[in-house]
Amino acid sequence: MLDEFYYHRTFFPDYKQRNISSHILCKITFLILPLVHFFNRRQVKRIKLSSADVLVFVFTENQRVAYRKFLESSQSKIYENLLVINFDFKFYNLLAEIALIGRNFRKRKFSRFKFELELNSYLNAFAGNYVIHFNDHSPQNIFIYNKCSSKNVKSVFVQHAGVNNRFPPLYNSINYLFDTLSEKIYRDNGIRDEVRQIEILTPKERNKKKALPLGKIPGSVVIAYGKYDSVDLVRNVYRELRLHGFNVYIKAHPALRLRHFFKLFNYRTVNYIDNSLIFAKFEALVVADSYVMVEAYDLGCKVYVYPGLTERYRDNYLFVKYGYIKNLLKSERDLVNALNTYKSNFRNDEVLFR
Amino acid sequence: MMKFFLDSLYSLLFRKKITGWEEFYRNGYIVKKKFLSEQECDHLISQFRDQEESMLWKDKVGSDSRWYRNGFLLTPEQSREHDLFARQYIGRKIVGFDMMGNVSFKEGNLGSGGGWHRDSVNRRQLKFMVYLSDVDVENGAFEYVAGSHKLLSKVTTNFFRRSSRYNTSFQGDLLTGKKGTLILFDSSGLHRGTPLSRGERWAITRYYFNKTIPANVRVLLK
Repeated sequence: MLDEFYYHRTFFPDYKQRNISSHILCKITFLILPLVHFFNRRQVKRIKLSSADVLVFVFTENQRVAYRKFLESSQSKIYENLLVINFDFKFYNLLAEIALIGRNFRKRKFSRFKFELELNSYLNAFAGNYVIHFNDHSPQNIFIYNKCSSKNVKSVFVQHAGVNNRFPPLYNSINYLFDTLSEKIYRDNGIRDEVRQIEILTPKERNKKKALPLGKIPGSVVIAYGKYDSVDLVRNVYRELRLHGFNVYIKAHPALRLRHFFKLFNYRTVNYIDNSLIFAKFEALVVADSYVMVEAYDLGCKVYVYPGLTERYRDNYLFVKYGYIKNLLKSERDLVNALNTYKSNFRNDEVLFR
Repeated sequence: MMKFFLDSLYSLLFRKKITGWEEFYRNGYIVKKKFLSEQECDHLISQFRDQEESMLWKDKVGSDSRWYRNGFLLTPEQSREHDLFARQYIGRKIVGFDMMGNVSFKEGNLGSGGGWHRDSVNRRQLKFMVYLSDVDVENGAFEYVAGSHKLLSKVTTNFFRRSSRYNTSFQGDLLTGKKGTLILFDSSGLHRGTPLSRGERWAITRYYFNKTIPANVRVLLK
C-alpha cells in the first residue's frame, strides 16, 4: 500500500497537514457533498460495470485529450470493451475548483476526500482486468492503484504531461510514456518493483504528424504560462509585444484558467481544449518553462523560451540540460528581436524525441 | 451574391479608410520599390531550390511551379505594416500563408494565374507580391485593372454570371519592377500575370483571408 501523501511530500518538503475546515467556502462544499454523493450512487447502479473489461477514469479536460490521443495509438488496440467514467463535467468538480482557490495543500486533501467515496463504489462493482488512468502524482490516482492491487486488477498509466527529475518513481503495473526523454527521466528517478511494463506511445506516428493546414494568423504570438510563472510578468510582456505590433494572446494552464479569470479580464486569451488547434494557427509561442513547447514545435509553431515570465527559472523539464534550448533570451528587447527575425532558441530535431 | 452585396455595403457605410493609403483605395493596388534587398531575395530563392519535388505544385504545361507553405517566409518585421493594414481592410480576424512561385517560358503558357480573373467576388481577400527577380514586359509582369476592385466594376462584369474567369481582354496597368519590388493589391479586382515570351519570373505572394482559408486552397498547403 502507498501512502496518499507520499507523493505530495516530494514536491513540497515543508508540507504539514492542517485543519481543512478553516476555509469558509470549504465548509459550504462539505455540506453539499453528501447530497451530491447520494445522486452519484444512483448513477453507479445504472451503469453496468460488471460487463466492462476495462475501466477508464478521466478527471480533467487535459486527460480527456490524452485519452483521445491514446485511442489513436496502436497500443490501445489491445484493450477492448472500454467504459469511460468522466469526472470532468461533474458539478462538484467545478464547485471544488471555486472553493479552493488559493492554497495547494487544501486542494490536495480535499480532492482525495471528494473522489474517494465515488471511486470506491465504482471499483467495488468492477469485475474486469484493467483500469486506465492518466496521472501518477495525485491522491485519487494512488487510491485507484491501492484499490486495484488489493483486487488483483492491473492498473495502466498513460502519461498526459511532461515530467522532471523531481517526480516520484513509477509504480503502476503497465506504463505508456510519450517520449524517450520522459522514459530516461523516469528511469533515472528509479522504478518500483510493481512495474511490469514500460512502453513509449507510438513515437514514430507522433513525429510524422504535420502541421494542420489551416494557415497562420500573421504576427500572432501566444504566451503560455503555468503554475510557477507570475501573471504580472506575463501581462507586462503582453503589453510590450502589443506595442511592437504583434497580435498577442495569452494561454493560461488549464488548472489556472478559472483562478486568473479576473486578472486576465481585459486581456485576449485562448481557451481551446486541444492545444494542437492553437499551435496550428499561431506563428510563435513564448514560454518560460513548459512541456507544451514540444507539441508546438511538432505543429510548426516557432518556440521562444523567455525566462522573464517567472521570478526564478528552474529548467523543470531539463531542456537546457539536455541541450534543446540553446540561448535563453535575457530581456524583452531580445525577445522582440528574436520574434522579428524568426530566430527560435528551441530545437527538437535530436534523437531523444524519436 | 447576397453575401457580396452585404459585405460591400457594410464596408461602404462603416469601415473607416486609413490615411496614407488613398492610392490603394482609388486604384486597388500599390507599388513599393526596394522592399527587399538583393541578398534577401537570393536567400528566399535558395530556400525554394532546397525543397523536395513532393512539396511543389505544377501546372499542366510545366511552366508554373509553386510552393504553398503552411506558414510565412517573410519575417514579421518585413511584413508588419501590411499585416496591420490587412487587419483593418479585411477585418480583425485574418489568417494567411506565403506562396513562392517560379514561372518560366514554355510554348502555350498563359502566364501566372492562367489569364484574366478575379480571385473571388464575394469574399474579401488581399494579396501582396514581391518580385524576387527583375521583371519586365516580356518576363511575365503583373497586370491589374485600376479601380476594378470597386462595387460598380464587380456589378458590371459579374451581375449575370457566376464565373470569375474571363475570356475577353481588358486594358490594365502593367506593373514591371526590379528585384525586391512589392505590389499590394485587392485580389477581388481584375488581374493576371502576362504570358511569358522569354526567361523566367520568381515571386513570393502572401495571401490574406477573412477567418478561414477555403477548402480548395487548404488542400494545397504543405
